Amino acid sequence: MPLRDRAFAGAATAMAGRGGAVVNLIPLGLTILALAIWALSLPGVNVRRMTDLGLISVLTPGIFLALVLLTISFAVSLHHQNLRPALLGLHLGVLILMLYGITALVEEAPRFSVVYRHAGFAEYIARTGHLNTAIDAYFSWPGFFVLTAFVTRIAGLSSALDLAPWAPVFFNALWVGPLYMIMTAATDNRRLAWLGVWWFFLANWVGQDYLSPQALNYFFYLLIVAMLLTWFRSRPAEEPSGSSTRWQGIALMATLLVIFAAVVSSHPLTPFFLIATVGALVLLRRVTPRALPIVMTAMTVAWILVVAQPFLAGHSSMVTGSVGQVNSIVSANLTSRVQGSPDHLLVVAMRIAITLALWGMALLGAIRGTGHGRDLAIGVLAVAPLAVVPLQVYGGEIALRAYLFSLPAIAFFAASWLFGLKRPAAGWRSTALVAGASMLLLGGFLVTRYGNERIDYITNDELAGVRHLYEIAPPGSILVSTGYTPWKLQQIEAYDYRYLPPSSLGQTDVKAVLRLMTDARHDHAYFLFTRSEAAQVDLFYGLPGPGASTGAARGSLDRLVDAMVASGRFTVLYRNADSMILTPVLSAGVAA
Amino acid sequence: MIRRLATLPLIVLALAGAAGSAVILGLGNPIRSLFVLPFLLGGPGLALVPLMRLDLLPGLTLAVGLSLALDALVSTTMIYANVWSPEATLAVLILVSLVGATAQLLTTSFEPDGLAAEEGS
Repeated sequence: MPLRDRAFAGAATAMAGRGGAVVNLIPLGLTILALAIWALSLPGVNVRRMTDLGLISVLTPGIFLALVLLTISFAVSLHHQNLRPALLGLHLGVLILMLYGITALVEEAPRFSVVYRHAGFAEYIARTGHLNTAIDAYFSWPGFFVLTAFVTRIAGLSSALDLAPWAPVFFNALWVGPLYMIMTAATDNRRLAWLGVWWFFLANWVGQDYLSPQALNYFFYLLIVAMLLTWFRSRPAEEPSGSSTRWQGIALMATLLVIFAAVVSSHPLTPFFLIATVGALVLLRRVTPRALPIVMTAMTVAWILVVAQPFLAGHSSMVTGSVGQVNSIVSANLTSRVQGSPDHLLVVAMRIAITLALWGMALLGAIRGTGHGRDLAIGVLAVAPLAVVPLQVYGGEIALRAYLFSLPAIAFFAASWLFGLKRPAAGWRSTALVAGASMLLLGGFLVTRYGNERIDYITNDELAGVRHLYEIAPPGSILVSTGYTPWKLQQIEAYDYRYLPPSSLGQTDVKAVLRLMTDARHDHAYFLFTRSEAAQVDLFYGLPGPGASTGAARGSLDRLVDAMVASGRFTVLYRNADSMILTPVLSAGVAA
Repeated sequence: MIRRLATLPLIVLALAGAAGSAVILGLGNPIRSLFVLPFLLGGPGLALVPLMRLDLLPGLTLAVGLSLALDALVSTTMIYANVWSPEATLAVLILVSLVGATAQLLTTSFEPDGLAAEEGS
């Protein structure tokens, strides 16, 4: 057994003599009770009162109680003499619903402004049947958006936005299967495997599970790694191979390559994480298909050179410009994120603390597990993704992505460290330890995962404002905002989108806005102001703090809009509680 | 093992039939989504993966992964071939599923122990 299964043996023995059937019913009852309390508490959550701490600032006591009950119930289930996969799976399902489905139930519209842009890409494809690489880089890796367009049309949905509210629950549920395969490939201890999966979902705060190519491709990443560790792992001669026949091995490899083809065609970054991970597994002789990294590299390069070439021709510096540029990568991924309002800084500090704590626990767990061959394989999963970090800034998100790709292994090692702490005799103490550590992670999750929620949630009034904009703005118009707004959801190719620079916010520079909106090639220009944009400015550029260096202060966007109205150079075309549309006076007569 | 679910090819055929019927009959939502989305999520994979004779959980996981990959690849191919048609894409996926389900039925029938024996095991 690669990792020793001692900690739970004592608990199991202890429980065996105390009425196994009763102990078995307790977790089921607790889970149902937790779910009921959670559901009954949801109406009390008022997102309008949210502070810069995010969703946790408006959660009701019942939500916390439900999560605590579920955590205790899971810990008890994990220590039962006869491990019940169905019961543990039920806990996991309820956890995913509670943690990742809550926003779909307490918020008015699909959350996260980027989702609306993604819906716009799918809308363009569904409407035209073509790709347009001039609109966005993603049209050079269009697999996910074509799939979304296809699903939207064939299922008779009005928009991809119909899929968006429950996308986080869907994708997290999708990840359970390959995660469990990876964990069970690393250990024969099923309890450790379940705890590793459980902690993955408590530590996955990076929020890459919205309706997006990366969410689907992360599933493909996990699945390909799980396939390799399950069916293509290097084994001692005396051990049976993962795939029992030559035909089965060929069929599995063909399936793996089909899945990788979907990755190559639908996301620019995931192929590189896969090549790094699979390459390391092959180099260290943990898996048998020696030529696989070469084939994967060839497929990726072929796609880039043949299909994505038009994008690369105009953006080569964007792709290669940051290779090895440590300063710019650190700045974009870390320094620029550690700024904003005091509450937001607390959220950022929590993210760093949780990450370091988890990595520290994982390191201790890895040290405990050294000497076991399979641990080296899963250790590769923790380290290999980091190799991609020095290559690309990726919009300041590469460090977050590397964290996500390392997380399965990190959660596994952290769980294995905890399992090794107590000796077999301490059954209930071990249960308490699992429950306590899980609750700490849970508390951290509620802060870190939804720490930007005041920006990310979208109200019906905001959406009404955006929809009104598309009703009144003729194709070809200039549309201006900060970007953190639910726009681009329709006719994405028909408008000239422009972004408000932070400097014009800080200096309340109305003339700069006017310059941005004046262009001889366009007859109409519109300024869109929404609640989520104002929240973004508050959170990211709030005072006091480094954000002040940009000149932007709390309420800057509101002040700019006030100044625009007071200047007499803009006309308000539309206004509701959470959105406003303005146009320069010169074009107001035409636009109205 | 996933191959021991004797009714699996029949489930695939039912999923494919439901999806195809919902589109042909022009059913409205939510019925249409309930008929179409399960097929897209698992149909093609459940038609092909059982032929590999894998354990249940890895097999089901792989079936979903293969389904989504095929959904994406077939629809993307249609776009690049300038023949974008959601209905034709669905037809291709149903065809793949029918071939896989038929292969499952045929190969299981010719096994010495047969489906009944496997179900009983």
